[in-house]
Order: sequence, then C-alpha cells, then structure tokens
Amino acid sequence: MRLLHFLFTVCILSCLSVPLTAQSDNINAIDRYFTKYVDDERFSVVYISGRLFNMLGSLDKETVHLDTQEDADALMRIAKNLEGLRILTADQDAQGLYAEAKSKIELSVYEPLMTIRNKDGSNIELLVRETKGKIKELLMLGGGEEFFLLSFIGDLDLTDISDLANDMNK
Amino acid sequence: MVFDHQHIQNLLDNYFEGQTSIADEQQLQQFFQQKNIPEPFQPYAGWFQFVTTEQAQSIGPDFLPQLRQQIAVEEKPRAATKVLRLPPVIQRIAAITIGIGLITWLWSSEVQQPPTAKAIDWSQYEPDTPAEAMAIYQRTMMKVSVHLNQGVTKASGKLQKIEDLGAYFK
Repeated sequence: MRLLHFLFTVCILSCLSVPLTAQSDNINAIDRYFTKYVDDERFSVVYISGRLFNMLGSLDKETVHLDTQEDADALMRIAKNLEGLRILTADQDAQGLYAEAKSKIELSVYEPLMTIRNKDGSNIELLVRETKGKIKELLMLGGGEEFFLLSFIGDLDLTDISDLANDMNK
Repeated sequence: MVFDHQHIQNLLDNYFEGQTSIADEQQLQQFFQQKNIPEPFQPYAGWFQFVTTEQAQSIGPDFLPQLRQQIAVEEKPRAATKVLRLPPVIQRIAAITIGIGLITWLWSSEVQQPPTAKAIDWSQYEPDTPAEAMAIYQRTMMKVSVHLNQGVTKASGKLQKIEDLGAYFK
C-alpha cells in the first residue's frame, strides 16, 4: 500500500513536470539566459520575427544581393522555416562577455556542434537544441573583436545551412 | 454371588433407557464379570467388560504430552504467509533514503528548468521594413556560413594531418 502511495506521488510529480518541459521547448536561449543583456545599453539588439521572414519571399529579386540564384533560393528556403532570429552584439569586453555567456548555457539543453578557437584569441561556439530529433534552435556565440549571440528558432536543416555556406564561400 | 435374572433384565432395560444409578451400573458390571454368563445376557457381556476395563485405567503423567504431540502431528500445516518485518532502524534508514532521493530528484528537475524569464517585448527590436530585415538576415547568414566553413576547414585540416601521420607510421 505504501509502495502504491509512493508510485502515485511519483506519477503526479512526473505529470506536473511535463507541462514545464513543454513550455521550455519554446523558449529561446536569450529569453532563457540573457534577458538582462537585452536591457543593457552596451548591447545592440535585433529581432526578426517569423512574420517578417514570411514577408521576405515577396521582396524583389534585386533586394537579395547574392551572386547566384541558387544562393538566393537556399537563403529563402532557410528563411521559410524560420520562426525568429534574435541577435545580440556588443563591442566592449567581448572576451569577458563570451566567457560569461558560455558559462550560462546548459549543456543538458544545448548540444555543442562546433567550437573554433583562433590564434588571435577569438572564439566561436555553435550549439543546437533538439526536440524529438529535430533541430529547433541554432545558437552561435562569438567573442573576438566583438561579442555576438545569434539565436535562430524554427525547423532548421543543417544541410541547407552548410550548402549555403559552401556556395557563399566559393 | 447369585443374581436374579429378572432383576438384571430390569437393570439392563433401565440402563439402555438412561434410568440407572451408579450403583445399578456397578451391579451390572459385577454381573458381567462372572465367568459363566447366562446365555440371554451374553450379547451385553462384551460392552460391560469393556466399560469395566476402561474405568480401571487411569491417566498417567505422560498423557498430556503425548496428546499434544499427537495433535501437533495431526494438525495440518498452515498456508505459508510470510510478512517481511524489517527492524525499525532499517525502516527509518529506508524512509530517509527515499526522502533524500525524492528531494534530490525534485531539486535536479528544478535546476534543469529554465529560470523564469522576464517577458521581453521583442517587437520593439524588429526592423522597420522587410528589406531591412532581409539585409540583416543576409549579413547574419554570411557570418554563420563564414564561421561554419572556417570550422569545417580546420577540422578537415586536422583530419588530414592525422591521416598523414597514420600513413607515415604504416
């Protein structure tokens, strides 16, 4: 009987934790860890909403300054699946801010994809957050001449981004 | 001793009707102890001789232990119902361990949840026009692609070095 009570309590607690987990799926890294940066005067903040991304498709071709049509198509394909892009940048104390930001990101939530450490002391960190096997957020953290934090939210396909990267750098 | 057959017959009738006194029964027992029992009374002889023999026996000191032993042998074994009764110390330790485990689990669940985010009004950071959004998006994707390629190139270079070293040692 006591065992039944214990199991019942565990079940109730598990059920309570499910909505919290579900709620946390929709929170981006900046809302999660860096809200104080948004109000900080040192940071520049930009946000492109999903609504704006949808409007990009209706822009004139001339607005998209890319070398080839393939690049433009790849760029729009990625944009189509984006629900939001948040950008934080700061010119002061880039290395310190990078270290602080990196320490705040929970590795149980974000999986490191790539870490680049350059000889000049600049660092780049790419992380992804997955839900049910799909990448829901791509986070890029950089600390060199400037500190930057990019958060892409949406259904992201790394292959598309990689292809675009290859085409753009040809 | 001479017995009146009619008197014995009357006593027998009373005996089987349950009307005899102890003295009457003793007379009947005495009658049936004689060697030559008249033929009409012979069917009753065995019974009264048995009663006389049984009354002569007394209960010995080993009667009660023998009886208990016999009861113990004849008593069917009860269905095995085993109740696990742990010592109170073990019960307390188990309760404390479960309590600590539950608290640790709840605490770790709480830690994994994101900190309560202050609601940010992101709309104030949106670009004014889709063209401006496109320009920002394009620059951001350029930055991502540059660093992504940088990481891939570095990783490829390292792999090539490892392969070269492997070939050297073959």
